[in-house]
Amino acid sequence: MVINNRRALGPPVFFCLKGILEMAAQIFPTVPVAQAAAAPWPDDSDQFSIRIDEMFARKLDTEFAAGVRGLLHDPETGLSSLSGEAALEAIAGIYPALEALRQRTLSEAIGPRQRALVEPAINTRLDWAAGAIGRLAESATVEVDDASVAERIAGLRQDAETSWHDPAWLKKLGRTTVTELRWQGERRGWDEAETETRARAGLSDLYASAVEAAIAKDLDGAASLLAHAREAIDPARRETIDHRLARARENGFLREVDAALSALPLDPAAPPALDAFAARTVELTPNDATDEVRTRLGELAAHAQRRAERQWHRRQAEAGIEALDWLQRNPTGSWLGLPPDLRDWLAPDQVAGLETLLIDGRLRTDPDLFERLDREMVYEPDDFADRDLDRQRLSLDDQDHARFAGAQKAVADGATDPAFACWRLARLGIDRALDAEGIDTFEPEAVQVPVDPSNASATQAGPADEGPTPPFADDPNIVRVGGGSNSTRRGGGHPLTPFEQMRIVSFQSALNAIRQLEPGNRELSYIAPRGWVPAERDVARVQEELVRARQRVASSGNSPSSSNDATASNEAFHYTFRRVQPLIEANGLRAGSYATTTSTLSPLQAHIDLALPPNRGLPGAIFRIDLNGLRGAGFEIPVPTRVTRSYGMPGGGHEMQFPYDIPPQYLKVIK
Amino acid sequence: MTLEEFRDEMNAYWQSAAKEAESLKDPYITLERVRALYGKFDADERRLADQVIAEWTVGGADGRRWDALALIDELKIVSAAPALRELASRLVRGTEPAAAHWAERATRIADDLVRRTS
Repeated sequence: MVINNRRALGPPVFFCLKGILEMAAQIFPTVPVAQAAAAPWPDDSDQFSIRIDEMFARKLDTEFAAGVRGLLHDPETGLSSLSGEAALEAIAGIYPALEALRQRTLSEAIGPRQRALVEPAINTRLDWAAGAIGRLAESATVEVDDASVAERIAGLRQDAETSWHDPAWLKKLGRTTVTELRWQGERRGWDEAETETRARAGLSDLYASAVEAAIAKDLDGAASLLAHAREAIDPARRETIDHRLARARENGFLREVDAALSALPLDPAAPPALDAFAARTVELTPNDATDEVRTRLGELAAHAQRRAERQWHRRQAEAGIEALDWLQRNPTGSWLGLPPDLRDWLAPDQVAGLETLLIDGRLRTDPDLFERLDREMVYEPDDFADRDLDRQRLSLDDQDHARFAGAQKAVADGATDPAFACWRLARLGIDRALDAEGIDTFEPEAVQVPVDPSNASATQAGPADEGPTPPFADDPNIVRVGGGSNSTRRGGGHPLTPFEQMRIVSFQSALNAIRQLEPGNRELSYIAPRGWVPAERDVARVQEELVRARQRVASSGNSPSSSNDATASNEAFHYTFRRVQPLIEANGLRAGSYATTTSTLSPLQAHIDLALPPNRGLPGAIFRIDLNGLRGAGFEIPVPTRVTRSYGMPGGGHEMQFPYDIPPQYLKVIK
Repeated sequence: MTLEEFRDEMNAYWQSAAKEAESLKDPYITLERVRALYGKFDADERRLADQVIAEWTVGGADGRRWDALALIDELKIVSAAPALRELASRLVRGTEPAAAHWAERATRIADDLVRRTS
């Protein structure tokens, strides 16, 4: 019956279906078999119904084929898209899925003829699918096996990396590696040559990994292991390791040199110079060093010098901050109290700043520095953001430092600080206005005269040049205006520098002394504009005039109270610190003590006139020394001498040094 | 460290401090430096330092004697009392100006030290 049915389909039947049915006959010789309970077989004489069944059967077979393809070969979800363990897991679930697809397809067949046409076709496809699944399973199994071996070999290699110092254990690990790879070769069916090649490569990797791990820990140990395992390691890999070992030795040597360069002490007196680093590097360089090593050493020395220079500048900045903290904690302290190692680090400008703090009780802004920072802040904000403001802390008053620090933070953060923005606009506006006037604000002399937008004359005044004495300068009837020489006029807005303050004090001190001696002295007929600051030449001139006035007064017989001729005088004056006052009262004046001839100097005047060291601190106590009493006791009174310029102080006063101890009865505290 | 070595160290330190004092025109730095050094000594070192400071009482016009007297008085170096008495007797016999004052001061410090121990 079945045969009849097949014949009945005849040539008009779709060729593919015919072929399928033939295949089904070979595989399933007994199907299709009409079941007793099945629907009655349709009329084979009805060509139209036969064609309909063939068409539906073809459609069902096509859908089934698509379903099988999807399950097996879909690029994203198909079995073949998986590999290894995932593929094996998926295979377990693929058969139920195929059976479900089969059942669903058969259930869609209408009538026994459609079913008879479809079933052998999809069964044949299922057989093909089973073959494909078998191949995929085999491939996945190989992958899983390979991964397992690779994992095993990697584990052995890691063991070797941690056991590089144990040759016996390494040998055992190597043997295990070779065995694993040979077994893998057997399973995979490699020929003997391939298996041996892979086994040698595995052994090479194992020893190479151990040597590389040793290089990171112990160069000598690595070299020893390499010598032992040299033959086992692949030549190309060995060459790489040789290079790495040599490089590691160089790096180790360079690290030692770098450590030695780092240990070079920083000298507070000057930033570290490249010469010292280069010389030390040369000392440490072996004679057989290659050119490459020598080049690297040169670069290392330069790098170490730059690093040390940064450290040096940072240390100097920190010293300033520490000194400031110290003085704020010890407001009555002197320079001597500062730890010497801190004092040594201070630069002259920092010392000057601290002196100002000691004298005035607060820091003052250096106008030149202010100008530099201000210009940098506006025109070179990146440089300004990188600047170490701690270094300039002692040359800026609190307000200016806070302002610059705030602006620096704003620049660094990229934030918009309204105050900074306003300031910047104002600065740019002023500079543009000055540019329009043909005044170059970047010229040094322009920097010396700070711009005050509220005072137009100040922007045009400029400092007086060194030049000839003004006309009628010697005429006492001419009232002079301005200081001449390099005197400067302050445009306002910026505080005086410590040196300017000291020049003013010294200048006024000399004028006051002249006034006491000669009230009609022409040096007193001096009118200066507001804000005028005497130059050093002005100070020297009035001091010389003071000396001449003293000589005139002395020669006229009108001896002043502060005669310089201490040998003929009855008293001298010792300016000292309050902290040693009780000591002197109890023990007398120590040998080596200095005295001067006048008792009216302020602490700052004493510092200036007696040219005392800047880091000494200001005297706060004065002892009168009874020279007559000393003479009476048989002491020889030293001759006072003129104090010359030193420590940056102009001097001009008189001093005498006592080479002997002076008992307390000849001393009296007068201040 | 032997007494001789310790003496050399102390003298060298004093010289260094005196040089710094001279450069700063402040002779009292020397005393402050030596006082600070003494503060760092342990008990054994202080015994040696006491001997050296006592020897300084015979120092001359370079300020060492002044430093020694001030240190002995301030640090209450009892072991220096005999040296002070010796100084006093030498001053009395000598011709140094104001010798009487220094002799009296040395004696007064020695008496004070003895009074403290009794």
